[in-house]
Amino acid sequence: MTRRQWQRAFGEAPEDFRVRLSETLDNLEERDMKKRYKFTTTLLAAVVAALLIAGAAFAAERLGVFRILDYANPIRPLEGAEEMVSGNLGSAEDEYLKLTVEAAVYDGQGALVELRLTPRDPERFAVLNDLMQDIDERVYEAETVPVPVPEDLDEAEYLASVGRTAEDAFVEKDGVRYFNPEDQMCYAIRRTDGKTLLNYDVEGLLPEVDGPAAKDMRVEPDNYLDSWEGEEQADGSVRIWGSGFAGRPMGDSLRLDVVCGYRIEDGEYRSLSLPVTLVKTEDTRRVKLVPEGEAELEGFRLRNAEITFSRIRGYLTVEYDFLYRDAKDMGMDFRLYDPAGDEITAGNGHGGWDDMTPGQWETILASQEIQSLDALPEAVELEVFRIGEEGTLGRIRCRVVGE
Amino acid sequence: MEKSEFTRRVTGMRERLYRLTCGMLPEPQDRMDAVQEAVLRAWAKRDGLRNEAHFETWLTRILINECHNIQRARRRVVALEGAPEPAGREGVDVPLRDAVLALDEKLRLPVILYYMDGYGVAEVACILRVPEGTVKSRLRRARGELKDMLSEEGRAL
Repeated sequence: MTRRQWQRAFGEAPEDFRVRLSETLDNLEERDMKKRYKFTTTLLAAVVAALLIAGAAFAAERLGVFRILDYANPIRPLEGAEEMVSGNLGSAEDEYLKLTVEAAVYDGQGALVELRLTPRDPERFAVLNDLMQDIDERVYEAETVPVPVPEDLDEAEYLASVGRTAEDAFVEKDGVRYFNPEDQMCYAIRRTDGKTLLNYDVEGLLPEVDGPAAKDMRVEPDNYLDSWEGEEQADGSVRIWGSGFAGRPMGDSLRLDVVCGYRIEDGEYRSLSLPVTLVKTEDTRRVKLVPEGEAELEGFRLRNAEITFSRIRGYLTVEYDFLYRDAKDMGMDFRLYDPAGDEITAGNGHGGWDDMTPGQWETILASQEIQSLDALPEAVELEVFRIGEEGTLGRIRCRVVGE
Repeated sequence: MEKSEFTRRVTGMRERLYRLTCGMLPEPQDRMDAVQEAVLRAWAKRDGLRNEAHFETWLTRILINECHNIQRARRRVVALEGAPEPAGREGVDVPLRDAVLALDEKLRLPVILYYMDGYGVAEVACILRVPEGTVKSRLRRARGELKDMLSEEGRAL
């Protein structure tokens, strides 16, 4: 379907909607609420990071199951981490497709998997997830969404942030400047070589984690592996990397169901499921971050902070109270600094809540993956940000105390 | 940002704002209230938006928050399927609308933002505050569910 066809789901804005919006805009000054919020180094950094991620190619070097950690803010497993990886964990297949778990690793809190999907008849079928894989225009007929460059974009700043030249980052068509369509997501329609598409999706589920346990471990059992990338190989198979982690340690072994659902072109839907048991092969190091002084900043109280380190990555967990101001309040974000003042790289993060009451103190447990460390520092600084606001609330220096 | 520029940018987003509210609020009056409130809040906060290139994703995020405000204020589950629409509106693909509204909100918002509004995956991830992989996964799942629903109507997606 084209974008225009999609948009017909709701049609055009009706007249009363247009009038109301127009009136609102006409009376902005009168309705100016005088309230000045400050916005956001954090959010803008997130946007820039997202743009960078969108435009970045996957790192070329072979990292095996760890490759997905190299995708965003690179997290480098420590030496010897590869010894924790299990290979050849099995396969499942039907007459169209074979799913193989080529490698996986579990460190007691997070898991990484490396999968391969192989069409049984690569001469007739091709495997594709057009949201996870790059689309080669020589192979796929694809619909690309043109994105105009805003007139007031600070091009120098943008180009510096993405490390590109103007010739590379932008294109002009009919007098309109667009972001290079090669950077945009495509919606693949069909193969140019006539092969039938097997449109797949993959999930990593935790069938043995029930509701109370999931709440305790801060994990979504039906979406445990929530970060995915895929890459088509020369032999027609697709390599896929997945990553996920819980907010708290989960135990010494983990039953993980790798599920691949796929649709044959636009017709029949099928799925392959492969249960694997992942075993934690070595102990983790768990440390508490104990504040040396005040654990309070404006609108923020640190309740508990700890890090669990494996050789693959670290998991920073911060439980905190904060003054929930209003529905726009998105809580806190954190950065960690070592004693030399260098930031410890952070990757994906989790943290969220259900209903909260504006004006009241609420409690949140947030977690994020971080770079693992060979040697534990004696102390770290935890910098606290209010998401979406400029500046920081401050830093809390904490002793690192082993358990 | 000057008022004229602010007005131009918001007006340019009018249809996007409308579609988003359709996906989150069943009552037309609530949709207008949400957009008005979001626009006023954006105006009040405009001095803090240092990189105006991100205006659209920023305002979209604010509007989602306003829609959630209204949902919470209603203190009820917002049932969107079969939501009342002005009678006789032309150009609305009713089966598609009903199918989109039947999706869980987790799947519905990525569909609206990505397929209808043209945001990229990275932008949708930023707006919804979820990892990009989650956006991709939700889009894929949503498309599968929509195909199933529309195929019952004899439609292809």
